[in-house]
Amino acid sequence: MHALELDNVSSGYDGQVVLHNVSFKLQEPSIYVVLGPNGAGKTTLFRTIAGILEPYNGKILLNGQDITAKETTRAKLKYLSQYNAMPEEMTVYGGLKFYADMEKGDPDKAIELLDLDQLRNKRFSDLSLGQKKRAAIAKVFLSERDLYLLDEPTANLDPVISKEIRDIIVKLSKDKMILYSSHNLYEATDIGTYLILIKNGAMTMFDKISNIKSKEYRVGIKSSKDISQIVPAHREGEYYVLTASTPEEAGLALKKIVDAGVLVTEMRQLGNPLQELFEEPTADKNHKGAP
Amino acid sequence: MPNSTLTFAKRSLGLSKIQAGMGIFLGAFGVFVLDALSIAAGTAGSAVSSYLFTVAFMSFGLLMFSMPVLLLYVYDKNNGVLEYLLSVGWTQRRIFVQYLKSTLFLASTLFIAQVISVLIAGFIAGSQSVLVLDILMLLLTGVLGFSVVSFVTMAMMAFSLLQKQRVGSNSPFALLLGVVIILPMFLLPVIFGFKTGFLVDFSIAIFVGILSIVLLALSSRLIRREKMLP
Repeated sequence: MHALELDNVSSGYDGQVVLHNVSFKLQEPSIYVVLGPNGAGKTTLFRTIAGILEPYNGKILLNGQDITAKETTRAKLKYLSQYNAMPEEMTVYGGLKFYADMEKGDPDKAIELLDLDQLRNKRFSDLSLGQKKRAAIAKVFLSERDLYLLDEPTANLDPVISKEIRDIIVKLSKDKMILYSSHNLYEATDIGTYLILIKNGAMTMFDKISNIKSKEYRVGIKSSKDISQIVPAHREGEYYVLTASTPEEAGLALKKIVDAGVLVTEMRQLGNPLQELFEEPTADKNHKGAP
Repeated sequence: MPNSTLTFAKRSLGLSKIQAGMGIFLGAFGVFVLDALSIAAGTAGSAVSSYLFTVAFMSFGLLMFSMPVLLLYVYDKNNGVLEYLLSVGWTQRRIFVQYLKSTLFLASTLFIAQVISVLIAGFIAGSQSVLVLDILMLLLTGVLGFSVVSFVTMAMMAFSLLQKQRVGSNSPFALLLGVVIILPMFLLPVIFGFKTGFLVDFSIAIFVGILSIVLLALSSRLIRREKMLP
């Protein structure tokens, strides 16, 4: 069984503390989405877990072994930074082989997984931004690890490639732990099981995403008739928008509309529950530590 | 030769052929002058103090030829390769030693070529004293060249200020350090003559070599991991 435990970890750069006393424990294979505004400390958190930055205090244990004390423990994780970290003067295959030789990985497997065969012999510097990102992601899959730290892996990628990469990551999460940072709230709710919220270098929430409730639910309804006379809804673009305090209340409103003989062609939640967390200046939800 | 050292050396040559070319030119120029002096001494005799100038050229050639590795270090730091190496379990000392080994490997290849061509010219000259003089110059070039290459490499990695690039050039500031150390070698023979000049040259080379060893010993303390991040 894989487990990652952070116990009161603080770290930063040149003695300046960026991450303040972060503690949490990941105990099951899953995708743990790390959310937070720019400069919140997400990358510092990833770099500290990856052993790149030495914590000023606290302990990081991977499968019970201290990451900072043992180099072999660090070799049980993979870190994808926001930088491509590929030798620009090499071909895609050459760059992947360069890393594969260091960690006994398989460049052909990574090329196949990321569908990079057509780019195999192209110089990395000649690739487009999106292609570079894909090739950079491939190095994470050169060999299998227990823990993957993915810092905004789908930034700069088109929606189709993003989806493919998310699918690979979701598949991987069946038996691996994945810490995944993103600014895309829809992506976070789409693939994440757990949410770790970081603000001003401190962890302000750790909970299952399914437990996160919105203060209010805005529901968009497309219908054959004006429904504003039936339920308290108003028109916004192509939708009638209804505000409910619980999902059940929204369901009752829908029943009322259908009972009135109106044909409902589409109904969807507008906005994202994570948006509220993102925008709250001090979102201490009393969920610190393991859920 | 470990495969990774060769890979890093190859990568660096792919990054800057101009500097490697300049290194070969300077090194070859030093060898050419030394060969010419040896053959001339074998036939007609020549001023031995001139020999020391060739050491400066040959050593500077070694520094320039290994320069691309210094560029590669800055380049790898900026595009996140060093950060990735740290994440896969490399220590800062291992990274440090890897780049150092690559600079020394490149310098060695040029030095071996220098040794072969100088010895061939020494044998052609046919004089035992000229051959001894040639060997002394090669010895001094080796000690000075490798000391300067090691010192410049380690100083650059230890102090991020030396990784900055000069205006209008992609060479790191550290190269200036090497120039500052080697430059006096051109003047010493003129000021002190051959014997004293040789001893002073040799002492400087040994001193720089010791400094490099001290820097290597302190490398883990001098180079913090965050200094390797983009």
